[in-house]
Amino acid sequence: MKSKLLAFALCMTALSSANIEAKIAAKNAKPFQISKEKSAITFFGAEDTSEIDLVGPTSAFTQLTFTQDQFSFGKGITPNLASSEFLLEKGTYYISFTGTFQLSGSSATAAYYDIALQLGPNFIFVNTDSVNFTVDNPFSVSSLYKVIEVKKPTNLSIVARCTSTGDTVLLTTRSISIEKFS
Amino acid sequence: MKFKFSALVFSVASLTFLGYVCPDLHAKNAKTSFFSASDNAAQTFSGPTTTPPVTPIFIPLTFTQHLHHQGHSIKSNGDQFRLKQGTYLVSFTATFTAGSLVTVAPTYFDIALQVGSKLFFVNTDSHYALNLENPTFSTSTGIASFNKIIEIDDDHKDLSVVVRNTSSFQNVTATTRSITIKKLKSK
Repeated sequence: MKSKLLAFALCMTALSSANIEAKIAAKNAKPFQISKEKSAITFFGAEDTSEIDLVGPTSAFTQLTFTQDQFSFGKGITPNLASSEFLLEKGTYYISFTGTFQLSGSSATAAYYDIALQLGPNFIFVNTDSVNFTVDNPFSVSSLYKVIEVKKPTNLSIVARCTSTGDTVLLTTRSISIEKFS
Repeated sequence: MKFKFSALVFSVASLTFLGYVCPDLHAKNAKTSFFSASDNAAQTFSGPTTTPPVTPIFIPLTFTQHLHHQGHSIKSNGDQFRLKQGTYLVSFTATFTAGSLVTVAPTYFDIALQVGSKLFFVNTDSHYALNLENPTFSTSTGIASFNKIIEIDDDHKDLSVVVRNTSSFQNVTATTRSITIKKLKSK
């Protein structure tokens, strides 16, 4: 009799446990949506169309701003008030940038400009492109993609400068995407 | 004894359901939805041919080859991608060649995104137009790429990568191109 009672109790426990779980799931009504949120990727994305003049020649980089259409999810990527610096927590990140660069004026020679990443005080991944009104391309869509590793909380910026004497490069439409890999 | 066995079977069945079926669903949801495609069919965009010039409308680029996808959030019909609610990373790369019918001059063209009827993220590129009768310039071809995070608020929206040529009497031709759309987050 004791064993029958024990078996019955065990059975009722299992049933009520399943029932409670089902009720909780039904009450929350979003058990799968929660799992989707868990599977979402930590990211930040933004764009900007305000004009930035890169006046050459200079060795100083200008931080680019990204104030419009900001989308983000997760923790670990925090823009500053001007949206020109992004505080990254420890981790590995995929950075992508696209911008339209335009020669301002009608210089006959090529105007060279650098696009780079600034990670803390360091300038890394310095790329060089050019625009030229007379014999080349007055407009250029420049993009960069880079995976970086951040070992402690560090500010990231996309920076640019014009290195040609007497030239100004105008930056208009641009976007940044930061995706946390791990 | 029969009761013990029944209780044991039932308990195991309940635990199996709670412990194994649900994690399976979680694992399925953890997969990233993506869609990628490419194309190399030449698509030519003509500049204005009237005086004064009338700027042409944006035309979608096609992506009909090498289709790869995972998940059900992104569907394609060739030049439009139907996206469910959520946030997506759109990556695009293409080779553009400029050609002039009348003279040698810079050719300007815009590349943008269109979601529904909304045009945004308009980037401008240029190539020095190659005179078709005297092809002496080597800078007529270039690669343009962009990455952009977009958000789809409604149930479904159609996304296209669109191009227009704003230079009179000149052509821009898109050849090799690819698009990758990755879902970052559900709504």
